[in-house]
Amino acid sequence: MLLLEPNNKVLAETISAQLKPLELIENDDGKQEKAKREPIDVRLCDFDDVLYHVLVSHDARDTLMLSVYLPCWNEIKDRGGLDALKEHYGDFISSSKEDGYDVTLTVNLDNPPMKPEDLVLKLSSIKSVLVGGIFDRYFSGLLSAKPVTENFTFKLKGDTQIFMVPRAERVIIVYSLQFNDKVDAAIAKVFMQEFVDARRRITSAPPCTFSVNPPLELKEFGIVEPIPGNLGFVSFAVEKRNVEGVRKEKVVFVLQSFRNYIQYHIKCSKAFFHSRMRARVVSLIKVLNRAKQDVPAGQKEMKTIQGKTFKRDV
Amino acid sequence: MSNTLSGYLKAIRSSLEAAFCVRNFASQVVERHNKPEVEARMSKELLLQPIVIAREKGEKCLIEGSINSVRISIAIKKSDEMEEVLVDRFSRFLAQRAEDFVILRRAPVKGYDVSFLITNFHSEEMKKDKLIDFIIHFMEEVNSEISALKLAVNSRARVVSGTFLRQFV
Repeated sequence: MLLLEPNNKVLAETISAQLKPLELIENDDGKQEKAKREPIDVRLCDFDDVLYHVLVSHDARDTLMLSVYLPCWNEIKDRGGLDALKEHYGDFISSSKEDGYDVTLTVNLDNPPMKPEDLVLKLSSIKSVLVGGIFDRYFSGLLSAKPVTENFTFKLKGDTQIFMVPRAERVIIVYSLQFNDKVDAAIAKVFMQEFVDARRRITSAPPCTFSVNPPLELKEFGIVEPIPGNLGFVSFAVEKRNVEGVRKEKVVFVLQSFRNYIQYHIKCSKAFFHSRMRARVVSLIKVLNRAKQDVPAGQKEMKTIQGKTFKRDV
Repeated sequence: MSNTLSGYLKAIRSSLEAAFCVRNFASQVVERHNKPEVEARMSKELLLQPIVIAREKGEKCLIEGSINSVRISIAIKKSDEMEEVLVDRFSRFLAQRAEDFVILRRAPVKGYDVSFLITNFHSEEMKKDKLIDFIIHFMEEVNSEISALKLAVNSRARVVSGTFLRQFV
């Protein structure tokens, strides 16, 4: 699996388990009736420190409540977050917001408004839709010739800051990446350099640059010196033709999960190192064992249970 | 490139064959103890002159001999940051499995990446020329392993960036 999936698998499984049709069981009077749904209370987390809370309460067993907490919500909600929420989940928005969470949705489990599989996919992609809302705002502006001219930055996570700089006919998106582990940083550097090189092979891809010094666009935010502890800045200049039609959804998803994508592949590389090193160690030990002396053909040294050693003719 | 490697390995092999004359020798300093003298370093007359065979600044081999043990330390070439990280990981991986390897030293000598300690007891169990073969084979294997891992990271990076950018096309 090269690309990450837009929805959260654990959340999808939790919700689809609740949407399964209830089976008929026999009750105490000997009549068939529908089984009662079990109440559940599940707390999950997702990439980028996002938290979910899925609740089917004891009293209201036909409604599922889904609450989401995003650390960056306060920064993005006015700039496309709320719009994305209303557009995709307008019917589900709950009137009462749960404490400690940013968004709460309620779903009627007995009469779902669409097919269960579609509903599950829609609900479990909530994080990518909400964070994608801010990217969507800039890209829709590009496409509709009414570009958004505001420069904006927000911290998606503790170690990733995203800058959006609109220019004529394109939007430049800069990621400032920080890796705490030396091995992660070395592998990420190789990946970033390949991104720049890959642009040469795939000509219609957006121009991509990577450097330790901040790119000139960040002067608007007042960043001219490289930030200590950072791996560097990687920037993509997204043009109108990159977000036309069906590409917009793919582009939005892939950009908002960029950091997770890189992290996933770094982990895969490390796991690959380990399995190769293990295989190599096994082969080296085999070679070493070839150096061991052969047992002399005449006699074999053996031990009894009590520890006495004696030689037996083979 | 492989010309200098084979010369380097030949020099190491002949030096090892010369240094590898070990016999059992109980400790002179402590009664009833039998220590590898190259590690204990308590009596100067029991130690041979250490020699360093260097292919270049970052790739060298230190051979220290003594009357009952030989210590071989290898520094592996690290030409960039990625190789440094890989060599560090690999040598730590090996050192953790030193028990399985018998002749590997748990901590490398300062300034080197991997160290072997071969005592007279090992040479009684294993054939001397096969041991030397193993050390030479080990050095070749480690070099090829590091380059293979580096290549794997580069090809993965190419695929990762290609898939990402193709989403924009």
